Amino acid sequence: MEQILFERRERAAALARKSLPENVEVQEPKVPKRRYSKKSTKNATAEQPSEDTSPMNSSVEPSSKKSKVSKPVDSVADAEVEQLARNTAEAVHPSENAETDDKNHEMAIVEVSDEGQAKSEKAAPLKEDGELQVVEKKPSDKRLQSISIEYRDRKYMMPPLFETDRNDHNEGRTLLNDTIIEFYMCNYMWYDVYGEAERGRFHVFHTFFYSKLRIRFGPYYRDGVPRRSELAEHYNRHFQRVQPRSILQKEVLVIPIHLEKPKHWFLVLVHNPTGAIRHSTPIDRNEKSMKERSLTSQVNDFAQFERAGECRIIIMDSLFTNKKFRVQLDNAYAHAFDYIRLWLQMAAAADGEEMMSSRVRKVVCENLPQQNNSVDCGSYMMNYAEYFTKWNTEWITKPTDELAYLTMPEENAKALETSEPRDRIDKLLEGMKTEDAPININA
Amino acid sequence: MAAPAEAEAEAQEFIKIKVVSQDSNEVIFRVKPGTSMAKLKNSYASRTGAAVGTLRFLFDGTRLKDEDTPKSLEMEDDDVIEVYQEQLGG
Repeated sequence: MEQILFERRERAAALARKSLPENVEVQEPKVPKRRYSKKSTKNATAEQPSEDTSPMNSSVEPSSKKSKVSKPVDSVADAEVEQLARNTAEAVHPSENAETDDKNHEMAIVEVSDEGQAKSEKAAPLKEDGELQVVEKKPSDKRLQSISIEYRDRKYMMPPLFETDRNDHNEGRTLLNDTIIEFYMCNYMWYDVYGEAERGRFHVFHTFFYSKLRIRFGPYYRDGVPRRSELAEHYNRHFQRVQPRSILQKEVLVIPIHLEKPKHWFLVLVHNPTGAIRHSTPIDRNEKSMKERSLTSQVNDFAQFERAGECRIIIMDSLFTNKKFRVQLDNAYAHAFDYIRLWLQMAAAADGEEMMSSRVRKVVCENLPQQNNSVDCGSYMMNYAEYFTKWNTEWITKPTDELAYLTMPEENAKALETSEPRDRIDKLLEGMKTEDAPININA
Repeated sequence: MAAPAEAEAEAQEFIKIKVVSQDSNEVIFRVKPGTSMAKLKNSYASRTGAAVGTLRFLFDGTRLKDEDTPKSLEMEDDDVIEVYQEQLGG
């Protein structure tokens, strides 16, 4: 890959030298260009797709590019120009950017460019410039700008997985956002990694499920647990569209959990949600009260309950050994357990069943591979989810007390430390890349 | 998009949609059945001063696509769209 890029760069440079008469300023700073490349790629392909690689493209110097790009936008809206100008300034001084803001800016630029493009089609035609070459001149083969992909009739705007080529302990990897997590876990993994059998056994929640649970029911926990009689009502109000029965009958529920402070992802697996449900047959309710039932039938009931096993809420975190965020994370585990158990109770109540909260056990895994930087938790979480549902489901049969010592094989743990998982996802995304113009919002 | 005659008929009827943010603030939008969600997203974003790219709009637990319309989502009066901030984690 690098080889090819290098060759292209060489070729482009040669062409540029040939076609440029005198005011040659081909020496463009490489890093800042990526700010534009997204926009220019889109404009170029949308308007003059055939001239992608023609030599004239490479003959424009950076300053003139800026003016050309911003002119059509200028006529549309001042605010956009301002933003563009700001972005330009940042692009020229990339070192001034805060790392974490980096991605947000990129997102903003994408928005601007989308609108700019949509409008500029009606206004003056954009002049062709040579920024496609800039894309090829990028110093690395890593994708540094957002791309738009399409998967199963749905479009996603994917932020880059790498930000620079710096070699600090984060190795230029970015924090993963919900779009990537949701795309991978709820869509790609669900449809392409899982087979029919897995889809029947598991359920993967989207990333905002737990946020919603926490936001809506966090206050309840401060004022005491919701009343039993209100559980079903709560469920129906907030989760109405999710059929409780269809989810409770699954073997494992996969719940990605996002924390605001610290910014972090971890995974919760709920095994055997039905295990904590007290199954009562209609006969019990209608004909005999509990007191009148024979001891044998009560014992039988209990035996059946025992056989159902228990419901286990398993917390898998790649920062388990982290000391800095110990308090926050421990609180987060406790909350996750409380809220998810509450959700199970509500779902069971909405389904007309009763959940025994004493039959729900909490397990925090201690021996999982741990991240040794501050950016990889999302990638670890996705890999835990995939490994423990698709590739190794032995743990399901293990007793609860052993689950805390679940681990992953050495080679998987090694691979997780490298950028391999990211490269794999990046490749996946490249394959689904779409250059479709965004829809015009004024239509 | 609907045919012109049909569009005129639709213009008469508006749907009230609540957009509820994480801190339970509600903004009520009156939209035509044919209005694209991109428009709603943009006007919500400009109202709250956030960039559209950092907001996530969910209806029934799924993300809204830009080209969705109240009609295609079978929305009714007083349906709720939830808005969340982008989640970033490391």
